[in-house]
Amino acid sequence: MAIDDAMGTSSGEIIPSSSDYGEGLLPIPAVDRYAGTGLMFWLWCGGNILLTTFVLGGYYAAALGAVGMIVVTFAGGLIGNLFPSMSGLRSARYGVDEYVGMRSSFGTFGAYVGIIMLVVINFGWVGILSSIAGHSGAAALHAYNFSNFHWYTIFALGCGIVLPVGMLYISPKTVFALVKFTVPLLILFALLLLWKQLSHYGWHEISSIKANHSVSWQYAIEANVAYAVSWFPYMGAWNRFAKSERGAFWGAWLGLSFIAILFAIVGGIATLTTGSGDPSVWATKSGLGIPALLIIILSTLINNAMLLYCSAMGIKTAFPKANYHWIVGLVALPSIFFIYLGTLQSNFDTILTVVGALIAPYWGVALGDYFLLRRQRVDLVGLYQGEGGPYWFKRGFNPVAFGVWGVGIVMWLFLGGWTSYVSWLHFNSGEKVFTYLTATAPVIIFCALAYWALGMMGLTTISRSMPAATEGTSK
Amino acid sequence: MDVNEIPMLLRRGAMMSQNDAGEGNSTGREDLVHQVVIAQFVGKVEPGGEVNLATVLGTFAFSLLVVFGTTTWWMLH
Repeated sequence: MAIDDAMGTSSGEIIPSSSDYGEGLLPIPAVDRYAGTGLMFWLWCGGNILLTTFVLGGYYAAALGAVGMIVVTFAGGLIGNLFPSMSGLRSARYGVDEYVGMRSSFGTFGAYVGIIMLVVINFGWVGILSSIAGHSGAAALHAYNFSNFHWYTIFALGCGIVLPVGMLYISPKTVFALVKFTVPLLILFALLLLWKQLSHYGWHEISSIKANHSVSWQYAIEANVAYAVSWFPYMGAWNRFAKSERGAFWGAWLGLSFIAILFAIVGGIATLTTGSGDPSVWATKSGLGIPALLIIILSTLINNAMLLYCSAMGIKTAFPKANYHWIVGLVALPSIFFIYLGTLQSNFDTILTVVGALIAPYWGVALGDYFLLRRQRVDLVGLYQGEGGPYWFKRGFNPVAFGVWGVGIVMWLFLGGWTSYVSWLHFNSGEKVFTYLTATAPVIIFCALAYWALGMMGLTTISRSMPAATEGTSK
Repeated sequence: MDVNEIPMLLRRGAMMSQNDAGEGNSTGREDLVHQVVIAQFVGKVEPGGEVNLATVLGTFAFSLLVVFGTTTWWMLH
């Protein structure tokens, strides 16, 4: 049967030389995968090159001092980034989008809950990253005596919306082409910033700055892990291009961890030496305004393209016959509100906290389902089936998965609610337990183990989907 | 699902198509078409270079070692 006849798909979407490559929902066969280990490494490095990664280190540098900040950054970065690197392996094995694969865990319609979270978060993230690019671009040109003009709009809309949408409109392959050349350059810039700080102040002086203990090291670990797992919703869309599972795993883990550690340490040290957590301040003080501006512009381009592609594929999973190019254009539009409405930006911290509480347990269940219960085997055909398929569960939702997810949300709010600005989420007992466990990592592990345990008990809802999973391995 | 099932699915699809033509209901046929299309990919998607749970847990253990090792070192200094 010709592929072009069915599902609103085109055979071009799985042929690497085609302009339609990666624009559809069909599984990408192994021989047609595009990205080797090195390219996956550059891609995930590029994903984490963000101004917020700099800011992360500055968040707790004064509290822990230089040595403490470095230790915690290594620890949090290595452990935190392991979780999304694992979750992306399902798409790497089967060549399917994150939310097509997610049907095996939450059900045909249950996976749509993940899509809604992804798309809503992206409205905020894309808008905020665009806004940062706008402010930094305008400030840099102002510093170099350019006349007043609509620089904020030009940088924010240009780098944040128009160019990333244009890249994706042409092909998602353009993102791979961009990261190959720009990411090594951006890493060099970051190393230059680090070297400038170290040579100007000296390690002895930096390490002798006393820690003020304004936040605990557990809080700093939690910040790193929570920041890392915000990658959960994005892994599958890109990992399905990986030529091997190893390439997807090591590329993602090493790429995300390397940049998380490098950039957070650079930002942390700069915050200690300059007393400011604003990267544009210490970059200018170091005489590196232009490299910093380049980091901001290129990282916004890469990141927004990566995020918007995931949104587009998520929406296409829910509406398979929708046109990819239309989705790419439309999905970026709501972010424009975040570029111009400051109140939305200032409220986004709260939104992120609440959504963080939803994301960690959701993907915790998915990890338990894929690795522990299904032993990395899903029914490829079943992923695309509706009612009557193995992943239909109850009316398209897996109630066991949703039950564990609900418990995980409550657990996260109990342990980590006090870190939010929402006063009614502050539990003193939860805060005490947090000092031993933190919040995000234990919630992910709990959800994975709890879902596995319930599956092993032979609950019919899950066990009905299991024989088909075994069948899916037959060739 | 096995790729060997494709001919059987195609026959079922053809039968359902004839029935649908009379009843104006194509939902079942569409679902079957999806199955047939995706069934062509079974056995062709796994790229190799498998990363098993042991590898992941080993990496996790290594990360924990880094965490506890560096924390201990930090506290001792």
